[in-house]
Amino acid sequence: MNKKAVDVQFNWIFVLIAGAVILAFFFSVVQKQRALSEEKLAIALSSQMDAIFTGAIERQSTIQTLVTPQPGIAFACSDVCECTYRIGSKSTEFRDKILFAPALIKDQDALAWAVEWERPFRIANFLLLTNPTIKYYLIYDKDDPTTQSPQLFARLSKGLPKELNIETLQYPDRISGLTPQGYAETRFIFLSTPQKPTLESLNSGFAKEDVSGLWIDADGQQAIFYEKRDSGKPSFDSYPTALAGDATAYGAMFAADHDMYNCMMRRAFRQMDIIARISAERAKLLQQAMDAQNPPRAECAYDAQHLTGVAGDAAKLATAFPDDKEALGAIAAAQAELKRENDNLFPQSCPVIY
Amino acid sequence: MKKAQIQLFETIGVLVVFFFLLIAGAVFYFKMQEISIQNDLAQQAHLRSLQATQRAMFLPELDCSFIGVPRENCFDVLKLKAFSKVMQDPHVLQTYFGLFGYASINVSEAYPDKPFVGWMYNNPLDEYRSALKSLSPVLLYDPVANQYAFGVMEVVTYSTH
Repeated sequence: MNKKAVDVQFNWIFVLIAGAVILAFFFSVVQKQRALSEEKLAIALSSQMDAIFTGAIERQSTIQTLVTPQPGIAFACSDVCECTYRIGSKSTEFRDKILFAPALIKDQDALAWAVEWERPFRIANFLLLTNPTIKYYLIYDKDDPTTQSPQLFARLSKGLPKELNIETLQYPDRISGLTPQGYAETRFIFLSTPQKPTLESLNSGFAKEDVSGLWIDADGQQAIFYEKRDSGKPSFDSYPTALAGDATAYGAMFAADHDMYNCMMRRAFRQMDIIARISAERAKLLQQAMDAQNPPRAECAYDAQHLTGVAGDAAKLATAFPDDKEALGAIAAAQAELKRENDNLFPQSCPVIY
Repeated sequence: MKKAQIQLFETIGVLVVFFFLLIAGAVFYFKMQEISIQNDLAQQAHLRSLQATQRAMFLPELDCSFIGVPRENCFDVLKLKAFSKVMQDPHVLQTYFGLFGYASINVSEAYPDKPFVGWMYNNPLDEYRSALKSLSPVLLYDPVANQYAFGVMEVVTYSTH
């Protein structure tokens, strides 16, 4: 081979290498740019979602449709109550919000419903989220001899918006006749059925489905979450917890799992602690103002003790819900007393406590 | 000059022009990105300010509800005073930091008497680059006198961007 031929071949090899390097450079720039754009979009969507959730929480009792971003929104709480929602690769903390949502909202628009939690004064609005790809079965026992099951059904179903994907079963044993209908998730909610839920009797077709259960007692004081084990069979672990009124029962219905429910309730009790402390301070100020009137208004008596007690117990539950049963009982008793005091102040034309 | 040298200069010339265009393009692109990020940050700051105002307006801690029915855009004056006192607890301040971040929120009476001015939340940044201020009209309820007054809620959010 002569020298000229070697030169030509070398030129071609050089051009190929240089071309490949330039191509690789632009390719890496494009890839980086694409990843950056996706990240930016996820951040923008998360930020917008945060604003949307904030707005939705204030509009209580009406169901709202929220556009779900294409990657979907994943909600989760860890066992140490780090609660986040994730859009794409961007995770955002719930922060102050009390959200009860399924593990994943995808494909269809989300339905948001804000419910007020009062014990007995207004404490917070819960935001309940779902979408039509999640099926809820409300199961009660029409022939319950104590009639508690139909009564609980009547009470809770009355408050549920019609837009939700809910079907009613009048007898618990009818769940064995159900077959999977291709929903992303199915939740069976047993309303004070005398016998404990029989989710093991579900059709074997549910073995590969995302299925969960919830049992609520007649007094609205206790609930049990049934969460599927990661096995092929429809077998479930049970997690007992506590309820504090119908709003919390709705929260349990919509929560992804017992971790999310318990974490949100702890947050709610933290809020109760602060509001009870504010109300206690306000009661003291009201008492001072009534004593300073000329003549003093003795009929307007404010006892901040109950509110201080509620604050103390709520502070305990902010870390120990649902295990501190004593604090739960004490709050229930103090609330009854507060309601009685408030009802007595009203006919006397005194400023009320709440 | 030999032919090979001319070719070498040509190649170098082409490379110089190519890299010049590449660098000019990159500089332009990164400048545009920087402007875009600054716009995004400004938008985020506005959104945060709006959210802080919205959250403050709907705090159940301060509402003037009557037999459990809250009145919109209304603060109970005694609750505001109690709130300021409770807010002195660092744990409570930390709870509300998640809600308002670095911000100052105060409420003042505008009509008829202007006697009441109260801090709702006061957690400003010592060194900040921008501060967004928004004013919102509110009702102030005095439960002792059972009277309403007009007030203004001032929300200032601070940002390091």
